[in-house]
Amino acid sequence: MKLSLKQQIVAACACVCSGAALADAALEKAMQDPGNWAAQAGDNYNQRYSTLNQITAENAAKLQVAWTFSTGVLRGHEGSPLVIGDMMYIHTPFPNNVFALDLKTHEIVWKYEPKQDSSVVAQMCCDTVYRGLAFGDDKIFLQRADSTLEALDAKTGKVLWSVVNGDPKLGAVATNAPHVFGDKVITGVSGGEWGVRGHLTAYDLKTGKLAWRAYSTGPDAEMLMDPDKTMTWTDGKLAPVGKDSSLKTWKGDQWKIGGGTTWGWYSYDKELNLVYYGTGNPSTWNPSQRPGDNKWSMTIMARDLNTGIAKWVYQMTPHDEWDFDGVNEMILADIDVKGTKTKALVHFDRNGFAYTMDRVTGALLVAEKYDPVVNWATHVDMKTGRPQVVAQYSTAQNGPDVNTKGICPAALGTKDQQPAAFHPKTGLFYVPTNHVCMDYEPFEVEYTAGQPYVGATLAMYPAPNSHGGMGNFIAWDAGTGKIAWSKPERFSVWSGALTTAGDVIFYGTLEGYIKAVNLADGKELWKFKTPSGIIGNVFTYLHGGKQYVGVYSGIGGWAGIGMAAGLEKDADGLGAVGGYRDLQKFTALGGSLTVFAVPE
Amino acid sequence: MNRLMLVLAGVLLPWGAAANDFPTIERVEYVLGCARDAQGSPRENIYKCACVIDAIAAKLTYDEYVQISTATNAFSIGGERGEVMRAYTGGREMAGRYRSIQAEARKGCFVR
Repeated sequence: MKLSLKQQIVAACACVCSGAALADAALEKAMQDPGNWAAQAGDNYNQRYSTLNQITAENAAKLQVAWTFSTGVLRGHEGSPLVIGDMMYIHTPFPNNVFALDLKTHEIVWKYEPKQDSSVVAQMCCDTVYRGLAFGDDKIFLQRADSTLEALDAKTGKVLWSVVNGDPKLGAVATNAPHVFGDKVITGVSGGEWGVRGHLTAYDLKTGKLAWRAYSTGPDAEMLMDPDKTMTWTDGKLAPVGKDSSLKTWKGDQWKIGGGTTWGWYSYDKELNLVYYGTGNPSTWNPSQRPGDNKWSMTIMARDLNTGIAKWVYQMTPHDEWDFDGVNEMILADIDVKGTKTKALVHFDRNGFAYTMDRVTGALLVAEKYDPVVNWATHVDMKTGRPQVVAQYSTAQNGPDVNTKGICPAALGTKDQQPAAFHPKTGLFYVPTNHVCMDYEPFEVEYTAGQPYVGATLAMYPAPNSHGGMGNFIAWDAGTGKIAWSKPERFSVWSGALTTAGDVIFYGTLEGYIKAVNLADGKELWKFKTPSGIIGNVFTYLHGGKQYVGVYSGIGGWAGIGMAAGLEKDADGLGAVGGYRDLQKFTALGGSLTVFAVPE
Repeated sequence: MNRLMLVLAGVLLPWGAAANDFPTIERVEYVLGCARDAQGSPRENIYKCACVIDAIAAKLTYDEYVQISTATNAFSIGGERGEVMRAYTGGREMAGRYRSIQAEARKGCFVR
């Protein structure tokens, strides 16, 4: 950003005065049809709720495999396919292949294999995952691992435009799904473990031209912060952030390698024209090396879609000491909060607190633990908005080379990126969680460009004195900050949930089960063991008048020793021209999509 | 990371008698994966791998099998998620138990 702040504000006004953002007609139309799954969460609110109601609590137990598709790629499969009309769009982890399938025949219409330098893999901290595609303007948007964002023709797979969003050699890689809001496609970066300076960037849907870029740390102008108009929760009310609100909270120029990356799920309120997202951990993991609040890492951001200017910000975990990235999804829902109908934003943070904010103003309404074992803070002070850190669990107060034991939750948080779902009938949120604690020993590290910048050693274990499992699936009342029910799981639940108007909730487990549970009480209605662990998100669609529900499975080198070698051997045979059909041979290999339906 | 570990009685269940309750689908999946990786002709591998999964099913209930095979497989996950299992004593114990049962079964079934 070369514009001065003043210029930014002038530009902002010019855009705002010209009216709200132009909506993309193709996406709007696709989203209005409940038979489609046109965005990763089904909608722009991140509710993950479908009005389809053919699958019900009564018939869910009859669900059977309807069809499957193997991606031919190993490693973790996050996100879900998209469905628009007769087409399904499937993505894979690195190398980020894209398949367009005809839903009438399940045959491949087109396939796109981006050419990426395999050195990118070594720059990815946490597996070579990719959370999925976006649709808009009859294009499919692919955010490649190497930070290149591409627009593909939805009908042919032809690359229409391509932009480079970050330098993978410096660790700026990508795992997030791009999001189409209005006339823009929005994307982020990963690499907080490499000292990457996070940003959210908007491109023009049609041309790929840069619309704006908002950094998470640094000078106001580069952060698209207005010192007088960008508000934050201060002393029990909203107040302007003031000048240099980020710079003042870092030692020297540490903000330049300060993290605050943006690899989560964004949401958009068309009426308010605001984009919501969270920023990740500050670099390094050794807190003693970066004194200060490290703003605006670990922050919920609300930005104007047209200009990128921040309307409000709220930092959840000032001066992070545990790697509690704030990137998890922002769910927008109009719910009752302590007796008042509220345009709310609900966010289940890694730090173990669930936040309910007024999404119009940024006021902090509720901040409560959504797992009772969370112990690093006693509570969030509702006046200052700051968590009250318990000295015993403070890795900063205990210092480097001291092993701080028994911190709950572990670094992966009470919840990682796996998105929760909302059901309008109950007004509750259904949340896949981790139930894991840790010992954390920070140590001194030096920053080297393009190298991991972590600086902590961890040990992890199931939450002590609990049910012994490593996860829960819970129903949460965001209006009061209370757990409605909690279903213990043996392993952490790393799969995104889906709610439906059939009053069924779906999610996946590490064992590979996809489960259907009852909306009212979480009682298990059905489960099926897919070929691998599930870290993808359950989705649903209608085709030929019939409701289907599907999920990716695939994680790690799952099928065991010799797997990778086996894949290469098979891949040789697949190299032949016209080998698409042969992908069927991959059924036992790599990730797979399993789709279910209730038989007639 | 051993020195950092806090040993906890956690997710491990007492090992009950095997109920020979493995679903057909699980046996087929196992045989497919095992036969793919084994040396020898496809038909020979079907005999041997079926022998292996039957031997495992004679030692573990299906529920135990799912639990400890999941923990073992989770070791191969890249990044933080895999680390949750690798840096967990209970996880390493489950993987150790699964690997030794499987190794014994493979030996008894002449899997090369």
